Amino acid sequence: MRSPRALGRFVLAAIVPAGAGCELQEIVTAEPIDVVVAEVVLRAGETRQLALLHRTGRAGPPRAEIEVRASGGAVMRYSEAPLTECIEIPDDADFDAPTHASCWSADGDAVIAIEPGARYTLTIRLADGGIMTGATTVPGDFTITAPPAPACTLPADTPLTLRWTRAADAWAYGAEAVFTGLRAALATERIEVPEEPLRLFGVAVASHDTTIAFPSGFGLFHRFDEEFAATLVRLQRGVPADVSATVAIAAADRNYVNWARGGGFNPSGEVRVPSIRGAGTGAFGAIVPRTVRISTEQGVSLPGC
Amino acid sequence: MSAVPLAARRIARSIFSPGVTLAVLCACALVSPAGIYAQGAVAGRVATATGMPLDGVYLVVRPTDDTVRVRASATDRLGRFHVGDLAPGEYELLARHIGYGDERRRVRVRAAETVRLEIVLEEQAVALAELAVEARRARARFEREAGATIRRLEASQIRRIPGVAEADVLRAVELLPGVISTSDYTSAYNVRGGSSDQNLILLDGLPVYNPFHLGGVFSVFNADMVKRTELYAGGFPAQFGGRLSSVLSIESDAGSTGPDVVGGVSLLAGRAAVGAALPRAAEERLGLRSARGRISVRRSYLDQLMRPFFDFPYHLTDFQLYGEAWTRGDARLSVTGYTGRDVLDLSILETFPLELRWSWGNDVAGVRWVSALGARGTFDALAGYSGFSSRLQFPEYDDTQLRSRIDHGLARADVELRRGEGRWRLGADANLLRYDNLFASGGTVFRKGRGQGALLGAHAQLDVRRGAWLVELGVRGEGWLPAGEPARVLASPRAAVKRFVGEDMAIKLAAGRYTQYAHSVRDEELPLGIDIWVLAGQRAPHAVSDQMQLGIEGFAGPAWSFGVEAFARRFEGIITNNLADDPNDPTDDLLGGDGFAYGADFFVNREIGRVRPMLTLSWMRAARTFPDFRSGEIPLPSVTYPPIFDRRLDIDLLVMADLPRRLDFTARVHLGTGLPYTRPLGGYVYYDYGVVDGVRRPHLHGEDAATGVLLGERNAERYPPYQRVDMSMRRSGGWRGGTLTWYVEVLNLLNRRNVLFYFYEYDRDPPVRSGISMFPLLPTLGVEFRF
Repeated sequence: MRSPRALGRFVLAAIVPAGAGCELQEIVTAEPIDVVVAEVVLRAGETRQLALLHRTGRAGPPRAEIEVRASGGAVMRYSEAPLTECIEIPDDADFDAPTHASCWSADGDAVIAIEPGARYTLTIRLADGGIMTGATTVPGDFTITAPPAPACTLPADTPLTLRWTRAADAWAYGAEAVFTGLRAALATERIEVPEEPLRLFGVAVASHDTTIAFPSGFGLFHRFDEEFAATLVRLQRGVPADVSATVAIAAADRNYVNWARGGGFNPSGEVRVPSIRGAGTGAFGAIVPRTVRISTEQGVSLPGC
Repeated sequence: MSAVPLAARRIARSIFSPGVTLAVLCACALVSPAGIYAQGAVAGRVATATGMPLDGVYLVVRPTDDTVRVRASATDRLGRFHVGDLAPGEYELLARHIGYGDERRRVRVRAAETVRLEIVLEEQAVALAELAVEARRARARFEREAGATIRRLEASQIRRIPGVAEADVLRAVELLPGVISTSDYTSAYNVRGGSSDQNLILLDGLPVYNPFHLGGVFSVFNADMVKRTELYAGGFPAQFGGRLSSVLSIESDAGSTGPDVVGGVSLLAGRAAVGAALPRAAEERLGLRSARGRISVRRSYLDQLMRPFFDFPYHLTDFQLYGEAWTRGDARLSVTGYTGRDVLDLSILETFPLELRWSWGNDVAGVRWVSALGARGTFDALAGYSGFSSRLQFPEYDDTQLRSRIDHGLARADVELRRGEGRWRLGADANLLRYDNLFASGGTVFRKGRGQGALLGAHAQLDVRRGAWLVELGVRGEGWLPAGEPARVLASPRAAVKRFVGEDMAIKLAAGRYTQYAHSVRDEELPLGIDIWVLAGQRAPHAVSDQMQLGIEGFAGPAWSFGVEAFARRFEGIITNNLADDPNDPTDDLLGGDGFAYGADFFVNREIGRVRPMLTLSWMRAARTFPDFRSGEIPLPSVTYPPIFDRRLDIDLLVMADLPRRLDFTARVHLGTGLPYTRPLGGYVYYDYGVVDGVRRPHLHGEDAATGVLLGERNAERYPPYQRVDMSMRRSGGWRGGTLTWYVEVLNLLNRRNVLFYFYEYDRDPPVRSGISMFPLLPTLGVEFRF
């Protein structure tokens, strides 16, 4: 979920260089300060929790002890996992997999129940002795009411409004739709879908904003992206036939939202509002995810959406 | 550690106390060695041969024995003048005005008597140089105004100062002392440590919101329609309200009595202004002594010119109207109208991924009535409307709305009364303001605000001249009534005292409180942008600024003027965006804060002669303190930092030279210390979080992974010093009964790469710093015509 404030930056980025076309000469600058960036999101109701540690410097993958403590005293300790469990690099990406990041997971006996409405604290003890801390309160529970079934079929090119109940204390609802079969479905219309499966994000802001249009409300943050333009315009009419979509709606807490949205303008990159303090920075957020599968495939025996 | 020492903030706070300041000023006035002996005066009216009153006529009263002071004055909007505080004796009165011949009268002034004169000025083919007259007008203001720091720009100066493609009032204002601009790309300006939304910009008395074309690259004001521009950089009198930092008053030009056509073609736009007087028969029928007016149109043409080759997505259009009529009773009725629209239509570009149509613009309309009130009084009434709106549309996505609008209706009445050597300025105004902002997409409202309020104001100011002392005491009372919310009532005292030292120099001290109820939420760190206005209320506090200034101003001979002024300002209730606001709380998207600024500015100016240099120096230090939403902490700690417009030293040298062969040469050298910026200390890969599976994927900008930045102390670093040299050469010649002026301008003649932004790229090995600069060397040319 990224803020549409990017719109202003995009226009700026388009106009300023066009007007002047004057790039400054590159000079080598000082090495960055080395700070560990922790991104830890608790997912309510799930049996596996992940944490990503990376850094602003080049000192290799961060090593640490990570634990999350529930207000009732239960403790969840993370152990290191393959980086590919936390990060997926697209096959056609023009850059290498990160070498200064580490992935951490808690599952099996290590995992504790992440309950909606409960409060958790995070402690990260870095190998160099530094300590990072954070705290989060998981938003309240909610259920998707439309469509009523966890999986359903939708006639092709039929818009659908997803609805859900209000989650207490949610700052926003992050939404993601993962479309499978869209590339083939739109090939006949000579629309080149940039990814297969195609992942598109949407958002509903504030706890009372409990609807999102499907599929037109997804892909909001890719509308300026040339690769996605034709696909997104096409999806305004609905999902074509023979496509399946997994749609997740997640009630998100303050920390998750602040990290995901922009925190002001800086020409060098995205500014983010952290919720982890101490020897590093990052976010310790929590979401309550709910998923529904929507299919426009013919011959599938699912209830109608 | 804060970028601004705590001690400095304490000093700034301690020197402010409106009550103490007022007491000091009153004490100064009371100890004034006022001239107790009975004085006389010369008063009257100046008109054309047809009886039309002339305003702004410069008058100088000089004793024939040359033993006492020379006194200067100017006629008011009704052509009247009053030169008082004259010792009994013989005097010569000289009246001068642009386009008219001089008129001299000898008068004998007796104690406690006023000599009344009716002066007629004859039109003259060889008109007196505009600048020479305006320089003398400045002299008149010097003698009449105690507190206001008024910087003037005449139409002839504005036309010659290099702008972007064509002359621009707001670009010219950036030359004035105490004024800085943060970027070549914007004609928005900052005055003495105030943000740009704290500048009240008036077109014939009507406020103009966001008066910019192309997101700020140049202003909406067509220089051909401008008669005079005055910037009140500080100490503005009680009649002005609604802004903290400055008042820019732009007066339209109704043109001469005969028909005229003025215009030009620049690389940007073509423009024409047509002026004419009402036929005599029509004047008679309407019972008018005279009536004249001008209408202008301007349009950019690149979209039309380039159409055969490629689609140019932007154009602007504006229309401006100004007319004035004199009744047989010498009352003046004037009308002002402006409408302008910018359209950026990216939907016509095949290369742009998104259909986008953005339009914005202003609408301004007003009517003004000025009439005599007794022998020495004036009644001035104004009613009008000003609005600004912006709308961004995405034709392919009907779920997206971005719109912003502010409407301002106002009515005001002012009375000026003279009693002896005192002048009362009384008035009242009523303003209705309304705003409506919405940013919604994909069925979600990201930000919205809507509200309205009434601002009722009244002011009284007494100006008294006693001997070498000029004292102004005033107060402005305001009631702000936001709809559905509690009213606020504020009193803003204003006081000033000026002590003349000899004939040509004066020391002045002024203090006052200023208030503001409308804020722009535009991020000033972005060099381009459109103001989005909100009103004070539950969401935003009202802003208050206490200000004090102490200076010396004067003249050295008939050509040179100079001034140096120190100032200190404290701001409270200013706002910034809270980008970490709670979406469930509709009232926390703006954060209130405070700030201060102190500094000094200096100018020396030669206004008469073939070579006319003007040097301005502005030294300033400013700071803002806001809750630090970027910290993510609860409660938010406060952060103090220098704002983007904290240019510590700004130096401008302008030289205008009239060369042989009807050539005019202008050069501007602009130097400034670097502006602050926030340096990233490191970067990291920016991942999108998969809501479905909890896996992160790099967020892509094209083929590159986006980066997040770890920021250092806010605005603690400075860009390199700013340097720019601009030049223009103009050549005028006769053509078919009119005048044709060709001009060539070069901005940034030395092609100095002034930094707009630095980009720190820590994902490269080794890390590099790149960036983009402001204007490169930018030549432009054009032609102007006048018939």
